[in-house]
Amino acid sequence: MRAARHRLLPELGDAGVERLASAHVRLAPSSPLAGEIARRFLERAEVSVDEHGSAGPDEPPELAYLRGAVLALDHVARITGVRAEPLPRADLDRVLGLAEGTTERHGGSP
Amino acid sequence: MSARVLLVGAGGLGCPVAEILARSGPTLPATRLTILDDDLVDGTNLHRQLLYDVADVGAPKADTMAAKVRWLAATHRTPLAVVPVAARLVPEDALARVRESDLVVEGTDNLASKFLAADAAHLAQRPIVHAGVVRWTGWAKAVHPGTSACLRCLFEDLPEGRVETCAEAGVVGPLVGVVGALAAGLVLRVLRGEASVGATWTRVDAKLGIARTVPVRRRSGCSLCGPAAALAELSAERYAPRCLGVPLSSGVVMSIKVRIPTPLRTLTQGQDEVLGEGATVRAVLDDLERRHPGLKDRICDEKGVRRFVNVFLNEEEDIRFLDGLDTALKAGDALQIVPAIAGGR
Repeated sequence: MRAARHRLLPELGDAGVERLASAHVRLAPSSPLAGEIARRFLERAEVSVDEHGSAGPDEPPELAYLRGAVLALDHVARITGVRAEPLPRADLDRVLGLAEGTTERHGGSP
Repeated sequence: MSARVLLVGAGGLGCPVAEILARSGPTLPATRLTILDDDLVDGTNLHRQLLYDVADVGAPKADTMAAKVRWLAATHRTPLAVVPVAARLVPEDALARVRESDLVVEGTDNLASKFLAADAAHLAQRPIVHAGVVRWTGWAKAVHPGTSACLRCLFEDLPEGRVETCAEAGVVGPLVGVVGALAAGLVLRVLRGEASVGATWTRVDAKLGIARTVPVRRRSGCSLCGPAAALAELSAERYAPRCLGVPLSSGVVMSIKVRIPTPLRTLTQGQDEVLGEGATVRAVLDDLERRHPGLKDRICDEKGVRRFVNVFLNEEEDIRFLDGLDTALKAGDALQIVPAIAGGR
């Protein structure tokens, strides 16, 4: 999606944009919708994405959307060299009214 | 009776909220979602606004979002009715619009609109869910009027000087999805009647790897919800000069289509038509410069429009024969940038 190319942060510069465009990730999402959301965000950042074949069962849409977006965010941060560690999940899940201990299913690799 | 949700802003934050509501299925309480946004889909939106595609560029966001959300709701058997309204939330009618809703969801891209929505929600005694995001940081908070900290408890007032919006400063697309999903989660909790939902504030700093939800208390000196609150009505002046530079008022901030000639499309990522906001040609070009750095310099010099460039209004009138860069624009106007062309072989 070439229309996405310019809208990344100016601070990433052309080099960051090029790193994204040449990156390839294989998703291991927590659910089919989480995988779909992660794929949509990554593809709009021009990152090439493998099909996600190992997703778990369906989740509530707000949780799946959140986990998919976090997964995509972690990939973008890692590819652009901004941050290597995944974003902590517990406080985010808590916003959705979920009990602690429901955050283990995130996955993904570059 | 349906819950009435007013979504202010159909952008990067509004997209996840609307999509998640539409995907919620039959367990969602019957809901009528009013989508309030006067903007058009721009190519620069697409990396973070997943409900829109390239084919939607130039179309009204409210209508486009409504059509897609209706389809999603039907697919998931979600009892969600959708009403698009192509307008901004402005001081003149904010209170009336908010009073017609049971819950406000605010995902706008400027502080003036955020404070306006917060003030209107409090004065109308309606709960509101706020969210904001720029660059690598974002936040989300729900507010129950009178019981939880409001926006003015957290941030007293609009800052002096202009504040960058995400369209200007840039934003990481997936972070908008993260914060939008958090806002959607808060919306669902409010709809379920969870009173504790307003007790915390969630912040995400994706660059530092921080995602925290912290308790926040009401501020006793808050001008909106404190015991000696002075803010009792919505005047346009309160939201205008410090943040936007122009009054946040009906018809003042408009999206104007600008036709870009081939030699300048390297600055617009190949787009032959882009959108700029403003009530004059000068304001639109300034806005385009923020979105497409270098573009204004190719059109203007210190004296005005460059001698070898023409700017036409609605393909009819050269703005040199109108009021030049101060030519006033109205909704539906379009500008064409026409450079001199050399050669002929």
